[in-house]
Amino acid sequence: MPIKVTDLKKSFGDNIIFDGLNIEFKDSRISCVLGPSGVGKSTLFNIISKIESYNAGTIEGADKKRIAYVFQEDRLLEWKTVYENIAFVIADEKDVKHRVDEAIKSVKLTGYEKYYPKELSGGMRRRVALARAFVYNPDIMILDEPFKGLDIALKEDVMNDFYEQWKKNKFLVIMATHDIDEAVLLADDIFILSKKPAVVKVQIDAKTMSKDTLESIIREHLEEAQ
Amino acid sequence: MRIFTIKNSKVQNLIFTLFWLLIWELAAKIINEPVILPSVGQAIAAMIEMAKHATFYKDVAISLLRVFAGVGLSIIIGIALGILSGLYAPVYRFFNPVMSVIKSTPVVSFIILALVWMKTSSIPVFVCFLMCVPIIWTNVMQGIKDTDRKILQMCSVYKISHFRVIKDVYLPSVSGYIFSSIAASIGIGWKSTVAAEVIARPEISIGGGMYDAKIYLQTENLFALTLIVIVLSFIFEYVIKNLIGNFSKGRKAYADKSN
Ligand SMILES: Nc1ncnc2c1ncn2[C@@H]1O[C@H](COP(=O)(O)OP(=O)(O)OP(=O)(O)O)[C@@H](O)[C@H]1O
Ligand SMILES: [Mg+2]
Repeated sequence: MPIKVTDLKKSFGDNIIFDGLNIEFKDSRISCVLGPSGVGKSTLFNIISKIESYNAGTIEGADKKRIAYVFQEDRLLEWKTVYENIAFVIADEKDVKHRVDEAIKSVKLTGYEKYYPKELSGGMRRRVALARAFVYNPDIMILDEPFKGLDIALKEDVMNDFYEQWKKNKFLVIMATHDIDEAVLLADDIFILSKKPAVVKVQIDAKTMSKDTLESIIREHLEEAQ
Repeated sequence: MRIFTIKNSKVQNLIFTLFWLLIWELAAKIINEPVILPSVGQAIAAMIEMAKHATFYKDVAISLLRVFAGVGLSIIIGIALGILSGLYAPVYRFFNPVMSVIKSTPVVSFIILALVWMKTSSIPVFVCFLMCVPIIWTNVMQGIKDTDRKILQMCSVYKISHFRVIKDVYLPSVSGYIFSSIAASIGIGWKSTVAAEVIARPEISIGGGMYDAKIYLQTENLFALTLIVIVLSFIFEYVIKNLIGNFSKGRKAYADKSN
């Protein structure tokens, strides 16, 4: 089931973010949302995951779904260890130990299970937040700049692991990023937002063209969207 | 350098304490009337005299038990009501008038009212409870309200159960507030317990001894008992501080983060 956002209106006081946004994220695909800083990507994600209110419009396809969300900030429990932070979201489910171990492995944090978030680097904290989403087995995964703060080699590793896992069990993924390479590598659909108020400037079916063409198209539209 | 300053402050503490004891001693010398103001020596002698009798230990033990019961009760009820009031505004509105009234009522009013209502030995516990429960309630509620909204949003997205959110998010967030309110309550609970004992005069109590000291003009006993209350108060404070210290070490990661 796709997520369909229709005629969405949202403002923070006088600051109008959306004034009739329409966007549809297809099921079993990875959708990347790009756009200038402050355009409303995180706000859109918060609205879809029901932690932010909106003024008008409809959101379909997100009700009663298991949503995993890697927020723009890590949002870890500082008083719990790496292991406990990840296990936290599946605590009442089956096979916790095995699943958490797998998730920790896929973000290359094996050996850090007993560390507290405070004792980790920014990139390591980020990976804990990622593992927490991976372990959840969601219907929908929302990723807000998920690989921010990871060095290139590590990013590639984690991204590949994520992609391998995703292929096994294709769920709907929405991801915001400022990194064109990430979008080119992962995306099936690319949405470029421009402000203000935000609208979808262009929607690209990424798998229909070569990586180079895709990259130059994205670059061009992003510049115009500023 | 650091060791030097620590030493220095300890020496200062000692010197200034001795200074105030000296003032006391001088005042006692000038007045020269033990019934009005006994000397330091007389107060300590009275303390030693008391310490020879078994009843003294019984008095102290029972008074201590009352404080523990009163504070313990207020901890349990204060935390439970504080959490509920922090989470649900109607619960807050329900309890707020009661707590506000309790907070601004003089302790003697409760003691005298309690004299009408219940038997003497439970009055101090009741009064101690009344004095402490608003402190703990207010603090726990504040802690709940200060809990990181972003973490709570994360919990709602991942559909974490209410039970787990309370246990793993709210409780750790309010634990600092809980401990500081307990520390504050113990001092107040101790003083209000003794005050209630003086007026209600249950058979076994420190406060009862104080009342007798007043009746029989044994001012040195009054001072001795007061000293004991003070010393025990210091011990409480010390133990609680250490408990908090140890606890926050366990939660080091969290505590450091908030700096
Ligand atoms: N809670 C809030 N209160 C008021 N204004 C807000 C709030 N959250 C976001 N905004 C405003 O909404 C706009 C969009 O913010 P948002 O975080 O959604 O942008 P973004 O596209 O995610 O940007 P970035 O790429 O920098 O993360 C900004 O102008 C921001 O100031
Ligand atoms: Mg954002």
